[in-house]
Order: sequence, then structure tokens, then C-alpha cells
Amino acid sequence: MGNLTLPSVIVEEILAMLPIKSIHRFRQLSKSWSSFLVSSEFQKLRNNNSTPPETNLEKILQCSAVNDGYVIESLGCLGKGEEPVRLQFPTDKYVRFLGSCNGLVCVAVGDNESVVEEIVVCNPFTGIYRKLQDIDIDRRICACGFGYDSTADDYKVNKLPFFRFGEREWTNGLYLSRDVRVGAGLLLLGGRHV
Amino acid sequence: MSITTENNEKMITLMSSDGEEFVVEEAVAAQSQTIKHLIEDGCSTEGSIPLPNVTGRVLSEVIQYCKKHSSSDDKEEKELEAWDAEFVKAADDHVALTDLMMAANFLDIKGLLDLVAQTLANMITGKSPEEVRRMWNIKNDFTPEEAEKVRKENQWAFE
Repeated sequence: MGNLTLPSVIVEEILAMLPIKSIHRFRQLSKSWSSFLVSSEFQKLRNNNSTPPETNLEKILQCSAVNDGYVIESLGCLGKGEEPVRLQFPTDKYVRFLGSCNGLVCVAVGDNESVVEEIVVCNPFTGIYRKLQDIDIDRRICACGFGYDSTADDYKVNKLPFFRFGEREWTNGLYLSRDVRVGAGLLLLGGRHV
Repeated sequence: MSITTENNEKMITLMSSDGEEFVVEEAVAAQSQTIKHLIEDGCSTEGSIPLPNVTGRVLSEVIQYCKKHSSSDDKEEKELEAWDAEFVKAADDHVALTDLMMAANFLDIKGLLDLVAQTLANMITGKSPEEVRRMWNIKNDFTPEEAEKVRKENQWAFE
């Protein structure tokens, strides 16, 4: 095969078309591929290739409770035949889905329907969970939303004190479309069975 | 060299890196934004347009693609998709596809670039990192410790 080497622009075009699982697997290829795959440039390139917002809406996450956890189904931007992702929460807790945005899922966890003990944001693909720290949760709060604020380029949980995520930490897993906005969270709420 | 056919189509001559000449209709050649700009800048009025990055073998494939896509309209979308699928299948392996993609990139033919990128992406989707390294001579420059760290972080992608 000889000295087949790929110019970076070619590599980038190909990688932007891979399903998410392959992207994570190929972070092992080399340092330069790995750093490119978690960069915001790659994220943007990938978003340009994804479905326009109107059609994305019908591919929003749907969550349902099963015996030992919660399952997310019908994921937009994933390749055909990929398995639904299972979220792991203790089944003795009441989990309320607050919203979904850019592939992240925000949930409130509590002992029963009207109590919120903590708010967790997770990336179901990478399995990274982040408990929101230092926020003053009104334990009886019931109306929360989770969304992306394009002006601030950050995520917000509303009805709660403004909370910022470290941008870099989350870009690692943000491979679903940025076109999914707060409305997507509402759709998700409509589709949940908790 | 700029000649005109009977049905008044302006013809353009393209020359590959290995000196092979291809005479094509301007509308076909202009599928390539690079060539289109060269024509607009008057580079096609004398002699042929040299394409130093593209071999004759690859250029003939690119021209096949451009001919098909300049003669089809939107109504034939399904037929065109089927044609595209056959076209990349004929390219056979990842080396030929990579050559084609580099040409599409140089010639700036967005449709062809996307088509080949998607084909190559499909080809590597299920492969292991080691297999992909072999395909494109990618050097694994991680230390064993670093490799282990990245593997752990992305463990779910191997399940």
C-alpha cells in the first residue's frame, strides 16, 4: 500500500461522518486524531453534516423506565442499528427528566414526585454524569427546564440559579446536534414514562 | 484550448499530472469549483488546464462523476443515488477512494467529496483502531500509559 498518508482536511471530512461510537473508539488512533475528535472545530463540522433542525425534532430522545433503570431510545444523529442507551439511576428514587439538549440529558432525582434532592446532567453515550454542585435547590421545585443558551454558549437549568458548565469538559461528549434547543426538552417530557 | 461542438457546447481540455488530456464540456468541468474559477479567470483560453495533483486514472473517474451530475436534474434524484452507489463501489478499495477524495478536495467538488467521505466513513465504522491505523499508515504515538487512559475513557465504545 506504500506511503498512503492522509491530508488533515480529508481526515476531518471522513471523521465528521462517523457514528458516535466509532468516534470514541478512534480516539485511540493517535494523539492528533484524539485531540481533533474532542475539539470544538470537529463538533462544528459534525453539526454542519447533521440533519436540519426541523427534521431533527422527530428524532429526539425518548426515555422510558424499565425494571432496572431508564432507557433512552430513538436517538437522532446515530447510525442505524445502534442500541438504545441505558441510563443508570437507582430504582428506588424518583427520576424526573427535565430536558435534553445537544445530546445531554438533565434529570432531577428525589425520593418522590414532589421532592428534588439533586439535579444531574449526563451524557448517555459517554456515561459521564455530573451532579450540579453548589446550587440552592428548592426541594419542592417542580418546573425546571434544561437548555442551551447560544448567546452565552453555555447550558442552563432554568427555574434554578444560573449554572455554568466548564465548556471544555462537556465538549468531549457533545456529538449530537446543537440544533436541538429547549423545545426538544419539552418533547422529551411529553414522551417520558416515569 | 477552447473549442465548440456542433450543439454549441464550449469544450475545455484538462491535463492530468501524468500528461493525459481530457476534452470535456465546460458545464461538466465547471462542476469543479476550482476549474470553474480557472475558466472565469481566463485560464482555459489557451491550451489545456493543467491539474498537477490529479493523475489521469483518477481524473477519468472524476469526469465520469461530473458528466453524470451535470446531465441529471433533481427529478432523477433516486436514479442518481443508485448511480453514485455503483460509482463508489467500482472504486474498489480504500486506496482508490482516498485518491478520489483527495482529487475531489483539490478540485472542490462538494458532492463527490461528501459521497466518498461517507463511503470511507462507512468502511471504517466497525473497524478497530489498529485496523484503521494499518489502512492509512497512522502512527500510534501514545505511550502505553496514555493509551490505557484513552481506552478507559472510551471503554463503552468497544462494547
